[in-house]
Amino acid sequence: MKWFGRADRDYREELDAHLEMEIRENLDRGMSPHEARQAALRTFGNALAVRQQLAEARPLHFWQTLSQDVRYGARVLKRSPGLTATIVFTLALAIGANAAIFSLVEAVLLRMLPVREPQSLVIVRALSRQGARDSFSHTDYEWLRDHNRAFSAMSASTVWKMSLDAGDHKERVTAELVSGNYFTLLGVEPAAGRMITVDDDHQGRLIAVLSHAFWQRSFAGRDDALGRNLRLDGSSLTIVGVAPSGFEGEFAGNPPDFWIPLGAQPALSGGGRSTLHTRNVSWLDVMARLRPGVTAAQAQAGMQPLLESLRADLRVDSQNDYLGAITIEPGGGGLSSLRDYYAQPLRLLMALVAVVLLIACANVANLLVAQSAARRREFAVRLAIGAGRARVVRQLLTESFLLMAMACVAGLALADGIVRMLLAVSVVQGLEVHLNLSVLAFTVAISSAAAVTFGLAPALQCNRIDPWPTLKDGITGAGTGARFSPSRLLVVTQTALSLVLVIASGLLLRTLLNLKAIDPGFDEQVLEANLDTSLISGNGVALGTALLERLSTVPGVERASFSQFGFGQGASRICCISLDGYVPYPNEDKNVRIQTVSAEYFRSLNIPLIAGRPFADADSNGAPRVAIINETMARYYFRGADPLGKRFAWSHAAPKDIEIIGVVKDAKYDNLRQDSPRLVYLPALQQGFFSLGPNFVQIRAKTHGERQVATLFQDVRAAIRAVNPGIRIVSLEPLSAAVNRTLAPERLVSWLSLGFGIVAILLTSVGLYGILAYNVVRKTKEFGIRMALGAGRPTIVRMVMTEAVLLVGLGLMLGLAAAVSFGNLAAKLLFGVQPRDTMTFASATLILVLVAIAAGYIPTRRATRVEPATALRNG
Amino acid sequence: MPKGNRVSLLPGTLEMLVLQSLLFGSRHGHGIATTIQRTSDELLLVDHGSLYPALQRLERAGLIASTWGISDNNRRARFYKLTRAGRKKLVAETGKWEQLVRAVKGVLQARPEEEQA
Repeated sequence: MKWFGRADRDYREELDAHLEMEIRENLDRGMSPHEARQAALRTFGNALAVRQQLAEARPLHFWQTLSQDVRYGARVLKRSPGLTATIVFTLALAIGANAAIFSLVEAVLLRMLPVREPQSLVIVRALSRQGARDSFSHTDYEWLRDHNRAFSAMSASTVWKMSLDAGDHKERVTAELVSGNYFTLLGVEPAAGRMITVDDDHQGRLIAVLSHAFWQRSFAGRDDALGRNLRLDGSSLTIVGVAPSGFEGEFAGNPPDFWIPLGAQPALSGGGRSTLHTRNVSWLDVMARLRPGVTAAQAQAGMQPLLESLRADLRVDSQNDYLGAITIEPGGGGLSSLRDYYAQPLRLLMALVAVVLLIACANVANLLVAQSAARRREFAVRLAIGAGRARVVRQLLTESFLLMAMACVAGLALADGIVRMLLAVSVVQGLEVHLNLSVLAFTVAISSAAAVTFGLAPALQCNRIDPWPTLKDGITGAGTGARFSPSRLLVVTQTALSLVLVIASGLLLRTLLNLKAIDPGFDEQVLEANLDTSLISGNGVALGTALLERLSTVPGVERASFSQFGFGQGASRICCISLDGYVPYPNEDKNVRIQTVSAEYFRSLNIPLIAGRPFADADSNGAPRVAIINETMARYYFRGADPLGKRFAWSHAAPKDIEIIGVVKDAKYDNLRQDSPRLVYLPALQQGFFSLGPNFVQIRAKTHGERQVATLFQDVRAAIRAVNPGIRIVSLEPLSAAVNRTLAPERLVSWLSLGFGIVAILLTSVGLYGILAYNVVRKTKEFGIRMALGAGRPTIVRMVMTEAVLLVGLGLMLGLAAAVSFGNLAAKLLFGVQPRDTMTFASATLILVLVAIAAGYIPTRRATRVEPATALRNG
Repeated sequence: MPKGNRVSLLPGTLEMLVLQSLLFGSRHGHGIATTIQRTSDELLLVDHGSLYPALQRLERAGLIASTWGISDNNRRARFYKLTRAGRKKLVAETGKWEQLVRAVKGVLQARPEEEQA
């Protein structure tokens, strides 16, 4: 037979369609699948024989069947747009949230330095005897470098803020002082010129290697930058090379502008104190590369013996050593304070968002299982036509992957939005967060995992289909509903996971609220300016006095004061204070913190003076040295005795000549979580006032309304510029903003977990609604019979709700158990709330119960409205 | 189902029946076959082996046109519809057929008396 005009394949497909319709009709007439097929074939006679010969001669190629599956799947999805949209949206939400959080995790925790074999890099960290992070002294670094057996190389570095004289203007720059083996250890090759060598370090040569970004910025990437000189803090350094683009040092989020040999330190300090070859100053961060075959754990095990032989070798008294221990941390990602702050919150968020993904997958699986129940007939027909089970399963998987692909695209777009939003509310500043290849790979991986998981559920269901009874059963294709069908299990799981999420967000939100409710001990409305005066020279006392005087004349300003450190901005720490009549016990932590403040400081911040007097203008250079201490310090060292008039010194060798003249109430210092440290306040006039380091100015003002606040800001800026235009205003903000900033990780975690909790509740209610509604439809006939037999509405309600109560109850119990272990996991992040807080657990459970009732309401109502007659006729 | 009573189509009538079945809208091959069977009270049996060649002929003659579409059960199927020429042809063929039927009927019902008259 010859067909004109049309491709052979086209014709075959047309006949196939016809054959299938014929079989379907035959099945409807009550034939068995085999009979149906034979009867259908008979009506074709010869034509089909030809077609079959063709088909058998050329079996369908894999790609052909795949494209068939895809086209068929697309049609299935198009036919139920509501379901498709729900599934895609649900998954997109989960994938988007996961990809966004993973982007943060990748940027903060996982990103590796662009160096040779970052996996074998470690950070060697000095810990004080109290376990706080410290730096190494140069002597210790050299000793460790020469005596360890775990590392193939060890390098030291430190970051310096310097001022660059660019001729017409001065510029703040960041330099990193590095040991001579720094670049060889990292395996970073120059983009131009050469890198710093061991010889440069030993000779203390005044040379610099530019960062690629600085080279572009200041020299437009020109080659003649090499050999030119940089004027830095009064010294002249010769440019010898340029680092490759992308390499930004090992301090993630804090890229240096250039690198200078460590040996240049004495020269750069303007002939000041050399911190080389001494144990008295700890100033170096140390990185090392593990010897091949040595693990980080093995290296760690060797550190304590190494430290002991160091002490023996250098004749250090272990009782008075600044070094308490040495730890090894993975160093491939560099050193990052961001990582320290965000590591735990991000890990927690990662866990929470993974739970959201699980819930979403459960939901989608549920929807697909329900849909596949409705499609059983379709599958039965396909099986009857002669499709292999494998082919039907493949069809289902293809549909899952189609859904997944759509969700993936939508999810990535959403992730991009979420990341932008998170960055916009400035949770993670100074860090490049973007959707990169690894995020994409991660997203595709979780999507595929999800696709296989939920695609398989209906597929397995379908695999159990016996075409014969299913087809006889009629349109609804309702099975007998096993006690623990997959969809029931899914609802239980969803409920459990949602409860965990809701409890988690409850605990974290309460943590945030508790922290916010804390009285910091000072007035948060006060404005604080961070001023950089390192670019101007002159007398700090004169500058400080003039500035405070000028500021207090600004309209609305009541007081202006000075402090060396702002809230959460660090502090100088001093070890080994010795006090009148105080005998330290062995191994005692003798650290105190020192804050230099002007006379008005306590009044402008509203920190009450408990005893003694505040600083006065008379407490100036030359006058007897005085100090004010905080309550914690008074309690610790004097235990109820009167501290006023007592004297102390910074070390036991020095004469005790600093007199305590006052005690102030504790105020929060580093952040809201930590109690106030032992704090010594020193008068600015005796400490040189404005320094090269940080300077903070507090301004207490009376303002009414936005306009006045804006004007005040302008006036303050103008006043500062009027005193000296060289003062750089790094920031000017109310103290509440600084306080809020220290809560950024908590805010990130609690708001995101709240968002996840809401999403989880929504998804769970949809899931629960779905299964209850489906059951009601399935049991319509039964309800009809029962009502016809005289069952009242309460009976029907009970029938529907029993299931809901069972599923939700089981889910809640599992969820409570899971939440307990979650609470332990997050205990470190919580504040003022127990990981098993009864209130939170109870209210979260209540919320889910209410949600379950709401989700069950509509199906239950539908069940009670069943018209017995209609139900019996249609069923 | 009166399977046993089915009659075969007269040669040449299949095309006309196909055109007629498409008069009220487009159908796929299976639909055409079932329409013919149903409207003939299941008397006329369409041999599927000859249906498709007939459809090909009609399409080549420009009497019907076809497009791929989606059947009720989500299956890709070829749908046929009547062209303007097809509609004209159907009218003409129907007229001829009715003439023929009348003529044949007349012959078959003729009585001897009238013949003589």
